[in-house]
Amino acid sequence: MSTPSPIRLHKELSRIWDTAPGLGRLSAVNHTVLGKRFIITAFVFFTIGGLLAMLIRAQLATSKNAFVGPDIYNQIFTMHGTIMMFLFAIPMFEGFAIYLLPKMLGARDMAFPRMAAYGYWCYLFGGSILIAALILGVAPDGGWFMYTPLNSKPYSPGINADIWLLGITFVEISALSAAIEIIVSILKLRAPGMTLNHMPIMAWYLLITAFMMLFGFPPLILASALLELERAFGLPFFDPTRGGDSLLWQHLFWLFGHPEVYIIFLPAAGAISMMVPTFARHELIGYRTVVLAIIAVAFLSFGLWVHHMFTVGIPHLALTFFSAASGLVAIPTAVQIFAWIATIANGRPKLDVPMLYLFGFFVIFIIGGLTGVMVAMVPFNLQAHDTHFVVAHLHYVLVGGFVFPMLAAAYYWLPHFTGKRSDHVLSRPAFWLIFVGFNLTFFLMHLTGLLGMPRRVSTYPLEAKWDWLNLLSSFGSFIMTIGFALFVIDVFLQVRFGTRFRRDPWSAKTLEWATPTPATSYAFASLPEISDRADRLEPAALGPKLAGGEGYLGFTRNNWMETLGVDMMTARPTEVIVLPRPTFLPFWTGLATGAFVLCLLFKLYWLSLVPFAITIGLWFVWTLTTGSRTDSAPLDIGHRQSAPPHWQVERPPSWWAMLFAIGGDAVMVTSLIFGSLFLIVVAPQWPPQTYVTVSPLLLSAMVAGAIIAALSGRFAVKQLLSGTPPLAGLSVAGVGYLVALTAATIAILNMGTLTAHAQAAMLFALLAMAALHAAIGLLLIAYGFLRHFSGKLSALRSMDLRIGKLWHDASALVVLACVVAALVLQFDLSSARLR
Amino acid sequence: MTRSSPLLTLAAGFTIWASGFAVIYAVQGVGCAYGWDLIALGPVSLLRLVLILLTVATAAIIYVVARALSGAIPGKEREASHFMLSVAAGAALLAVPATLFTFAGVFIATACS
Ligand code: HEM
Ligand SMILES: [Cu+2]
Repeated sequence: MSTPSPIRLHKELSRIWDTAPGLGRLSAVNHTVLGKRFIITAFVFFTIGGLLAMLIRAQLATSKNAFVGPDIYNQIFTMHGTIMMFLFAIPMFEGFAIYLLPKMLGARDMAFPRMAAYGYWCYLFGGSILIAALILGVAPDGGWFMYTPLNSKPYSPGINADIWLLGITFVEISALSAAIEIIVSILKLRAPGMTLNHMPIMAWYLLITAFMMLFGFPPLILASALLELERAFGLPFFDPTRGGDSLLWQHLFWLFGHPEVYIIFLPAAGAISMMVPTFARHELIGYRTVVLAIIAVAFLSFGLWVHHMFTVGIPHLALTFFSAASGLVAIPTAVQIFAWIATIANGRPKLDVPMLYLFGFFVIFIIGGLTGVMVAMVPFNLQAHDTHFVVAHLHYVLVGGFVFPMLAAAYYWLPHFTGKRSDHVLSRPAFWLIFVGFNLTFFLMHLTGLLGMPRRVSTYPLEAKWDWLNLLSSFGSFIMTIGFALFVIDVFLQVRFGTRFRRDPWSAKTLEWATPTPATSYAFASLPEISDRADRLEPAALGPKLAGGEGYLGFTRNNWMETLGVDMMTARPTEVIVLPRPTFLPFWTGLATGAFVLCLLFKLYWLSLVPFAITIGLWFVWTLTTGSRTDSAPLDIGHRQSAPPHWQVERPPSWWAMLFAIGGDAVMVTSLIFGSLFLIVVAPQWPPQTYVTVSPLLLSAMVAGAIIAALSGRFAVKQLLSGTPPLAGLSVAGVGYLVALTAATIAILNMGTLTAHAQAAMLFALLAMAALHAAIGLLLIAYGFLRHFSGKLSALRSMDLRIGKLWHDASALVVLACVVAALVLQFDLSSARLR
Repeated sequence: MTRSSPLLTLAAGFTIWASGFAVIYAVQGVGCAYGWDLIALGPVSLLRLVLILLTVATAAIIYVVARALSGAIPGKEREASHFMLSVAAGAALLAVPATLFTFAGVFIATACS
């Protein structure tokens, strides 16, 4: 294959990779397009959240203010918090990750472009539902952490809380799919030679953050589902008068909620770790130590959720665990800060606009960290809990730890998006307005908090003497807003009128600067070979070589969108990953999912089955274009090397995706089992007056069916590998699942009333969880048949069945675990109690 | 070692910390609910004894794992594995004091109030 000229190569690749204009934009699956979309959409939500914050500050500016009443105020602060956390911070970082990762790692796209597109639509539609509710005046109003019983039916009879539970869960689909996509992309889609220890440090940050999302979001999704079941059908999971416990909600929520704040901070820290070396003109000091610190933070942050619940009456001993872990987590966070300071101290720093914003980060985040250690100490916490001191603290960490680094990142990477130079007219005044305004707004809240001003109150009396502090604070927030407005204008000016500039304007040493700027849809015309750490490159020299096709895959073939998959450890090329072309399917599937959510919202449960079935059906349609009907010889990848297409290797990206999805699923199931044990042990009103029981025969049938399915799923793989059609294996597995599903359905139908006591409700939840796993297994069996009959399976092309096998094994374990937990729920264990 | 396990080793030490956390927290909850703190065993209650044993056991297991991991670090010429295993061993080693610090309360704090 001869290497074409750079221009011709560019034209050929663009023809294959570009997204069609006009309505064709709805079919975009490209990471550059989707990354920008996520970022812009998240910024729009930030603006909405910011406007709500302005309303809050307007209301609190003076005592006895009648600007908005308490009902509206409740909606405003709840939506402000919810939007900022779920619709701004997380999607903003996802956008940066999706846009930057392939370019930093030397790949042409993310691993699952259609999932990224589907995730975007779920985010947009879910977010729109919330905003629509805000406009209609029925927005959630029970606080961003949705505590029960306030958000249970008796105290929130309207649709408001349902909008939160369903809308946010809908948005979380995008967070979970992004998490899996980020993990697999980092582990598999790197440039040849870029071993894990050569990765730019931000990839480590994003890898670990994505794992945290994968394990952090399932408890929230589960809790939301349980609370929605309680609200819609009266299943009393959180109702202490019927064997539930509102503390269960708090546990599940904060098991998600605390890791969440690190999920927000770590990607920002990753961006900081990219910018600091560039402006210090020195590589990051302590690369290995920083990786260690991220791992420690990630784990520790899962062991301190109860610090949000110090005041609920948990025994002191338990509090010490969480208090200790909360203090401990400051250490690895500080280690990262020291690594940045050391890098700056050892380099020849130059102060440019991004560094100015990072200076703001340092000051504000450190103050937030210090007040964080204060509120982590139980005695102080008891004083400060639910006051404006906490509002001050949380904004110092969130705005300091996320907004300032993201502003810096925006200035740093904007030239990559635009190919233009920052002309810096407004960026400096914008910084000072935001910085001064922020501190004025929030520093004073420490004081109002210490003076006893509670959070979430719409008004306060004149006698409280909080007036002038609040007025100054509100004044500060308007200064800050002017700063943000200047920022927006500045960005607009650069995008529209900036002067064209060479690639790598900052003389950075990482790979994303080797792409053409503004980035082309295919990112790299050919993929580089990396032999050293990927933050020691010379993008200005490397870029033209790659554009000239000197790297891997510097050609086109079959109109395929190709990138390389590498071995996780050695980073040698193992497969050519053929990515899906632009398609409207994610859009339609997102719409169908949205329709399903709306049906649930309006309690049209029977009707909801229609969009549900359409969603599932569309997913099957997604798979029609993937895979191949013939076995392929290894494909040329350039440099006299070759590799098979991804559907012919043992562990392609989708295999890993299933493995990680199962990991997240395991957390969800464990949380449910934890929930049932929690109620048995801790909840009041136990034991129940009458136990609802399920026949052991049905329970055994469930387990037996699931085990048969797993075994025959394995057998089907064996058949395929030995050259026989896997029909027998698939059929028996299908029967196994049907048995399990039927048994679970009969059991559920015979349970009688589920609303009298949480024992019955939990039993139902466990059986339903088992049934859900069997149902998904059944779909995978159907998928196996579909692949077989469309000729996509052979001994060489067995990945579809092997991915199924992973699920069948896991779901057998899940069914077993749920059944065991269900058995425990049916026995009165209270006779063993000494108190 | 299989091809993907270096990734798992990174998480080894703190995964044991987390499992220990879950078990210790659960035992504390169950023990209080069922009144194990009311059963005296010499100077301490049954509950406290169990919690102390669990804490020490968690720390000990992590320490053993950390030793094994640092023993398995290959030479510098296998750069990637060297990096992964030394980070894994470091993380596990850090998890030992983290364990003792997190659960230090089992020695002193009142168990069930
Ligand atoms: C842009 C400037 C901002 C201002 C002026 C602002 C102001 C406020 C105020 C005054 C409250 C307290 C309301 C009350 O308790 O009555 C609040 C709550 C909150 N803010 Fe902000 N905020 C800003 C940005 C952010 C950002 C960027 C985030 C997150 C990334 C955020 C997250 C939250 C959360 C989670 C709450 C708690 C909501 C609740 O109590 O349910 N805020 N904000
Ligand atoms: Cu927290």
